[in-house]
Amino acid sequence: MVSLDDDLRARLQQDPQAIVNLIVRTQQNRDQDLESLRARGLTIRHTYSLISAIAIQGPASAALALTREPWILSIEEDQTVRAV
Amino acid sequence: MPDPTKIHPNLAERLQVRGFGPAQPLRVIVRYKAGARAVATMVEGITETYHTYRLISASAHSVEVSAIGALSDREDVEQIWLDEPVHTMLDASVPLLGVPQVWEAGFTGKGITVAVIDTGVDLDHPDFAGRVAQSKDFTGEGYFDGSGHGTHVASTIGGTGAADNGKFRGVAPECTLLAAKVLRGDGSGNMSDVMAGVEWAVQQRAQVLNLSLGGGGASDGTDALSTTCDAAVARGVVMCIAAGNSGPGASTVGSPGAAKRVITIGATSKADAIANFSSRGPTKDGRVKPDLCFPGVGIIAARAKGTSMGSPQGDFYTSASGTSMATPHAAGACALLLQAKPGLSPDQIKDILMGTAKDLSFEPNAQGKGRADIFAAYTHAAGEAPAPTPPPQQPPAQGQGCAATIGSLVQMISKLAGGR
Repeated sequence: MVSLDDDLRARLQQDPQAIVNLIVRTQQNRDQDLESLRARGLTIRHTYSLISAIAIQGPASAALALTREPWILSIEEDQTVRAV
Repeated sequence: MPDPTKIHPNLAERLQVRGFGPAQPLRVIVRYKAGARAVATMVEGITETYHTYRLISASAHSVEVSAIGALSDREDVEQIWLDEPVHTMLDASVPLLGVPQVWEAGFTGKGITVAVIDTGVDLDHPDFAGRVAQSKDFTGEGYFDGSGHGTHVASTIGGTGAADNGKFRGVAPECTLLAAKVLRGDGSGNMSDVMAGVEWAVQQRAQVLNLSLGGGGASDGTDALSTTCDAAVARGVVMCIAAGNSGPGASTVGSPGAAKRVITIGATSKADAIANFSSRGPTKDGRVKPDLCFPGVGIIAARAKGTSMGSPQGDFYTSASGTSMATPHAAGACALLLQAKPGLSPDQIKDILMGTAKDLSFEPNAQGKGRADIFAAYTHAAGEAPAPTPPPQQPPAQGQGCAATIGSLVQMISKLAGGR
């Protein structure tokens, strides 16, 4: 079961064509997982090694479809951070 | 008719230099003639009254510039001063924390690498000459500090103060710096880029990371950025993170300040009051944050070329406030401790800093364990008997001081004298 905040899900559903930036937490970052993301029309912005995660950009509809992938643990918004 | 003899030169100079419009608000202190009562509130254009003093017959206000003439024209008004901001310079905050005593013991951060995860660092600033070992842009904007924020932060960690004869020296002036630019010139960025910058710094073998940044809204510390920061701690890296500037309301610590294993820093004034803006705990899942506080009000540190962040104090320095300014004091402190005791783990350093902090008797979710005492932390880390905190080396000079305006200082003096 992919963890996805209700508010984020609603926003993705509201505008399926919108280009969104997300961070996907995975069980492990395998090459085949990256290929799977690209095949859905998503761009890989970063892959990480400190934690198993991938930063992606692409249509909200493609991101929503990821909720059915068993290798994905969670999807969260790539939030804005600011100098404080 | 306005009476210019009643307008103090500091106010006259400000009015001339800044070219204020008539409705521009300005903070002033009005002194009254003997026997007169504080009547400034009766003048049109006084928008706010902050204090009324008894030790001297005076009151502090916000006024529209157009009202200053009418004020000066009143018979009962003797003098109108500009209510000048006063600052905590690095040459005040650093001694307050007991840092010079650690330098005297031979520890200046030499051999320790500290990464600044921020807007970049001005590589040409005299205070960093040749000491930023590596820099990298993660924003796509290109490497330069278009904001000035990262340069100010880096200066507090490890600036030499070379541009002003060592006056504004950072906490660890001989550490090696890395600069990951993860925030654009407007001071904003994406979590994903910050995570990439953290990974890069860990790969470059940075021992301490400074993140003077954060997201909005309370966090439970399980988001991707907070998790990345905790993972860096698990790799042996000390993570110093700003609590945020969303105080004084409760539960205002966002990501990554809410991460469990990082050191989350709140801000105090030089007078050891908690800054109003400093974010408060608890975290969304009920943990106490911040962990402890460092000075973060009116800190004068390096100014990046071509930027105007804060209140510039000449070409090379600027004054700024925020938990951003408090956090690099912590990162510098960690560099000193690591040089003194290279085997310390991030958890040990966090425990030492928290355990030796001066309890300011504020709520734990405001102060954490209190305001850091770096000399006490060093003494503890070195395994020596705890020593009493030495006093600051020098009293604040004119223009320095606490996180207040002259107006509130006068109020404080009045209170001490039994006034009010």
